[in-house]
Amino acid sequence: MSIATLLLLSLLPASDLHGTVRAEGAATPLPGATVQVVELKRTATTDERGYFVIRGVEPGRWTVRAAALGYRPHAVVVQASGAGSVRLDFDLQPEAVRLDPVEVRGREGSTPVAGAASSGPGETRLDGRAVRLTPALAEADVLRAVQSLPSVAAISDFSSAPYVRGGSPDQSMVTLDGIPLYNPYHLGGLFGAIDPDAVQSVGVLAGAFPAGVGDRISSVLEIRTREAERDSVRATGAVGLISSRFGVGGPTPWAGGSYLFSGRHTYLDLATRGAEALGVIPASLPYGFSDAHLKLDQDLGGLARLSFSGYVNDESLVHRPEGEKDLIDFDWGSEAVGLRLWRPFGARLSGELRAAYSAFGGRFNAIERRWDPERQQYTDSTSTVVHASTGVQNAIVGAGLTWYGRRHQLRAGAQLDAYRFRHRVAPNDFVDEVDDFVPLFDSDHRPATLAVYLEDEWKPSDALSLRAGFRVMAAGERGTAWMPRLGLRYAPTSSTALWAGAGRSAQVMHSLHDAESVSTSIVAYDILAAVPEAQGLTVADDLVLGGEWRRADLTLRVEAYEKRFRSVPVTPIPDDPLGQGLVVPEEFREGTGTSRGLEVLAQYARGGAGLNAAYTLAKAEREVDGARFTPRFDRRHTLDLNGFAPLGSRGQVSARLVFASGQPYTPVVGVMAPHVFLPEAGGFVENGNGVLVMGEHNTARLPGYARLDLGARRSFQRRWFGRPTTFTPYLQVLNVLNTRNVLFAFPERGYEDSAGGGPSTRLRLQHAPQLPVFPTFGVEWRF
Amino acid sequence: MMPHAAEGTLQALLDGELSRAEGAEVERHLETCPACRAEAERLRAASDGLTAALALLDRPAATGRALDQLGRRRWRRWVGVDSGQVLRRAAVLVLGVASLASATPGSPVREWIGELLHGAGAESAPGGLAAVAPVSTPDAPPAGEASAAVSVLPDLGRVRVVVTAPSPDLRIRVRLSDDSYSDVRATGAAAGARFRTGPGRVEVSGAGPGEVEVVLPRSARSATVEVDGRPYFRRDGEGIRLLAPASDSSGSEIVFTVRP
Repeated sequence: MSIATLLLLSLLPASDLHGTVRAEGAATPLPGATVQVVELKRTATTDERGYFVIRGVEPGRWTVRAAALGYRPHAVVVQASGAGSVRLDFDLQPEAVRLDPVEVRGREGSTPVAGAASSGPGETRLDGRAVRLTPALAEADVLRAVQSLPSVAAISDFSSAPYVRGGSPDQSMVTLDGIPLYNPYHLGGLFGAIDPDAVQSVGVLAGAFPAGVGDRISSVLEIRTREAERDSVRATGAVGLISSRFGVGGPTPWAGGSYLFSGRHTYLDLATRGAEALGVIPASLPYGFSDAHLKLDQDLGGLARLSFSGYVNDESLVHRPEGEKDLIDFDWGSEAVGLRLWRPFGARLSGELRAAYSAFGGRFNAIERRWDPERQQYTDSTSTVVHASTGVQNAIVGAGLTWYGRRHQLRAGAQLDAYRFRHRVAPNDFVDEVDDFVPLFDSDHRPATLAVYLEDEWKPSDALSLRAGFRVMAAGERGTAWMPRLGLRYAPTSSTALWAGAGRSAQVMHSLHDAESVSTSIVAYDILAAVPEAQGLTVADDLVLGGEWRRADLTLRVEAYEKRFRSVPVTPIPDDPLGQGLVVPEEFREGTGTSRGLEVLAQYARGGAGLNAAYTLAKAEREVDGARFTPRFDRRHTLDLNGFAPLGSRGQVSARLVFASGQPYTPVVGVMAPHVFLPEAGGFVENGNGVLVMGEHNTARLPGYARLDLGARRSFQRRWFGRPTTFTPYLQVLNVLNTRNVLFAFPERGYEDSAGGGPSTRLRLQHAPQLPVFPTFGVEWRF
Repeated sequence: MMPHAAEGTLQALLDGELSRAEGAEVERHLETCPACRAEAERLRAASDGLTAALALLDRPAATGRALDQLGRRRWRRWVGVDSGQVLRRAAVLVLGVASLASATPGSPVREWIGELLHGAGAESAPGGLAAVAPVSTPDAPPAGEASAAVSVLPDLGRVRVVVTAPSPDLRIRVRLSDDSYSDVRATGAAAGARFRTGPGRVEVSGAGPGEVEVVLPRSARSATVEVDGRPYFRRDGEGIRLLAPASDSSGSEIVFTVRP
C-alpha cells in the first residue's frame, strides 16, 4: 500500500479492533497468535495474555483471520462502524498434530516473519513440549533444553548455568513469569530447578534488547509457565529415576480464575542408600531437594487480569551420623513471589503494575567433632570447619504503559529494584585448610536501582518495522547508565526477513566466583555482590545483524553479533587455575571484554518429525591488567543437532548430537627443579618435586566435545474414573557412545612408569572426564 | 510419497503464498491424494464463501481497493519524473512531507494530539480530502447509528449464535437468508457488545438495550440462537422451532425481546 493511500485511509473515521485469542474449551490464552485484517494486510501478534490490538480499521466489512501454531485458523467478517472499538475474541480449535517445537519470532507485540513486519532482532523461543522431549540427565530440564538453541552454551555437563554470547551466568537473568530467579538449580547446578510440566515456553533474548528489558548485559531467559485450562481439572506427573513430580491445574472454585500447581521432590537419598546397601556405590548421598510452583490467574472483568506466581526451591545436604567424627549441615534454596495487575483502557492504552520479591539463601555448617578419650566417643564439643551463609534478596516494584497507535506502539515504564547481597564466611578453627577454597569474608551490599524506559515501535509499512527507545538506570553511587536501544526489521517477502539491532545494557551485580577457576565447571551457583562503587555499573554495547528465510517445512535463521563489555569485574589471572579457589571476595579488577560470533539455526519439520540444527561460531575475550585472554567457557565451534521422529502412532524417538571444539586451558610448559647446594655432596642436589611453570593463560585447548543422547517414549491410553488417562514410559540414555569428554586437564606425576621402573618423575597431562554413559527411565502420566 | 499436506500448507497454496516449486509439489500430491484434495476443497469453499460474503457486502472494501489503486497510480507517476517538473514536484514533496509530519501517520504525537483534541476516531479529513467518504452498504444501519457486526461460516454445516448477559429489553431479530454465512449485528445501545467467535459460532455478550440482528443461512444443516444458555430459536433441516415467546413473528423476521 502506498504512502498516499495510507495517508488517505488514515484520515477516514476508523474503528479499533481488539480482543484475545484463546484455545477453545480450555480458554488458555495463545501468545504469539496472529490476527490479520486480510484485505488491509494489517496484522497484530498477541502478547503473553493472548491480547491484540489493531487500531484505525477503516469503515467497512473486513475479513479478520486469527491463526496460531498448532491450531486451526479461524476467519470471520467484521463490520467496523467507523467509531469506537470492536471487541472480538477468538477461540481456536487445536490441530491434531503439533509441529515445530522451536519458534523464532520477534518480541511480543511484534509480527512474526510469516506475517509482515516486526520490531527488530528476533528472539528464539523453545516450546514447552520441546523442553520435555529433549533428552536430559535424570530429569527433564528447562535450562538444559534451552542450551540446544545457538545463543546458549554450558560450561560443562555438570553445570546447567547459561553462558550466552560470551557472557557469564551472572550476566544473564532467568525469569519465571517475569520474576527474576537466583540460582534456580539442583545438585550443584547439574540440572535446573523448574518443573518442566508447568512450562509453556522459554524465550532467549540474547542481544539488542527492547527498552523494556533489563537489567543484565548478556541475556534474559524468559520462562513462561502455562495458564491452566478452565474447562476441567487436569493433573500431570512423572516418576523418574531420582525424583517424582506432580502438577494439577484447572478452574478456581470462583468464577473467572484458574490455578496451576506443580511440585517435585527427590528420593535421591533413599536411592543412593539402597545402592550403597547393595554395594553398587561406595557411599550414599544425604542430599535432598524439592521445588514447587503455584500460579493463579484471575479475570477482573473486561480484559483486566491479576496474576500471581509463587516459587520455592529447597535443597539440603545433611549428614549427622551418630558416633562419627564429621557433621555436615547445608541448607540452601531460592524463592520468588510476584503479583501482576494488567488492564487495558479501551483499545488504545494498557497498563501493568507489578510487585515481586525474589531471593536465594543458604547456610553451610561443617563441623568436626572432638574425640573424648574418657568417654571413648566423639563429643559435642566441636570445632567448626566451615560456617558460612549467603543471601541475595531482590524486591521489585514496577509499572508499564503501552499505547497502541495505528502504526505506532509506545511503551513506557519504570522499575525500582532494591537488592541485598549478604555473605559471610566466619572464622573457624581450620582456617588454613579451607581458606584457599573459600576465604574468610563478610560483606553486605544494599544497592538499589531505578530504571525508566520509553520506546516507540513504528511500522510505516507492512514490510518495515522500526524500534527506537531509551532506558536509563540510576544506581546511586555506582552511577547512571544511559542506554539507547534500536531495532529494525525488514520483511521484503512473506518468507524472508532481515533485521538489525543495537543497544546498550548495564547491570549492578556480579558474581564472586573466580570465573577462571576450574571449580566454575562444577558449581553453578553464583554468589552475587554489587559491583564496586569505584568501578561503577558494568556496561555492554552490542550490535546484531540477522536474517531469516522460511518455507512451509524449513526455517533458516542466521544472526551475527558483536558485543563489547566495559567495567567488568574480573579476577586477576590466576597463576594456577587448578588450585584457584571458588570465591574471590575482593580482588576484582576493572576489566573489559569482547565477544563476537555467528549463529545459524535451521529447523525442518514434516509429518510429526522435526530436526533443529544449531551451529555457533563464537569468540570471546577478556582483558584485565593489560593482559588479554580467552575465558575458559569459550568454545569456538558448536554444532547441536536435536531431532524428533514418530515411533508408531503413539511413540516418539528423540536424539541430540553435539559436537564442539575444546575449551581453553593453561598449559604447563615446564618444571623448575629446585636444587640446594650441599658441600658434602660437592655441589647442587635436587630438592623436592619441583615447581610447575605455567604457560600463558588459556592458550591451549582441550580436546573437542562430542555427545549423543537418545530418548524414546510411548503413550498408552486408559480410562480411569471415567476420564482418559495417558501413561508415557520413557527411556533416555545420555552420552550413548560413552565419549570421554574432558572437564579439565591436569598434570600428573608419580604414575607407574610403563617400563616398570617405578614411579615416573616425568609429567604427563591427564584429563578429568565429564559425564559417562547415563541411562534414565521413568513414566509420565496425564489425567 | 509426500505425506498429507498440513492445513497451513493448503491454505498457503490457495492464498498463492507458496513458491512455484512448492506449489507444484503440493499440486502433484493433490492429484493423487483424495483426502488432501477434499481438505483443499473444503478450504477453498470456506474461502469462496467469505469472498462471496465480501462481494455482497464489501463496498467499503472496494473503496479501500480503489484508494489503493489510486495510490499506486500516483506512485507510478512519481517514478517517471521528467526534468521540467523537478522543482514543482520538490515543492509538492516538501509540502507532502510537512503534511505527513503534521497530519498523521508518521507521528505518534500527532495521533495523541488528534485524540486529545477530537476524541475517539478524530482523525478527520482536512480540506478536500473529506470528500473521500466510505460508501455505506445496503445492510448498514442509518448514518450516525453505532453498529458492529460479525459474520461467520457454518462449521460442518452447523452455526450457533449465543447471546449472554444481555440487558433487559434487548431485541433479538432473527431471519433466514440465502447467504452462506451467518451475520450477527449489534446496533444502537447494543453496539458496544463484546463478540467472541469460534468455528461456526458467534457469541454476543453484554449487549445493551438496543438490537441484535441475527441472519442465519438457510443452507446450514443446523442453526441455533441461544440467550444465556436457553435456546430461543432452532432450525434443523427444514424445520424451525421457536423455543421462547416471540414478540413479533408476523413477517419474514422473528423478534424476541429479552425480559429480566
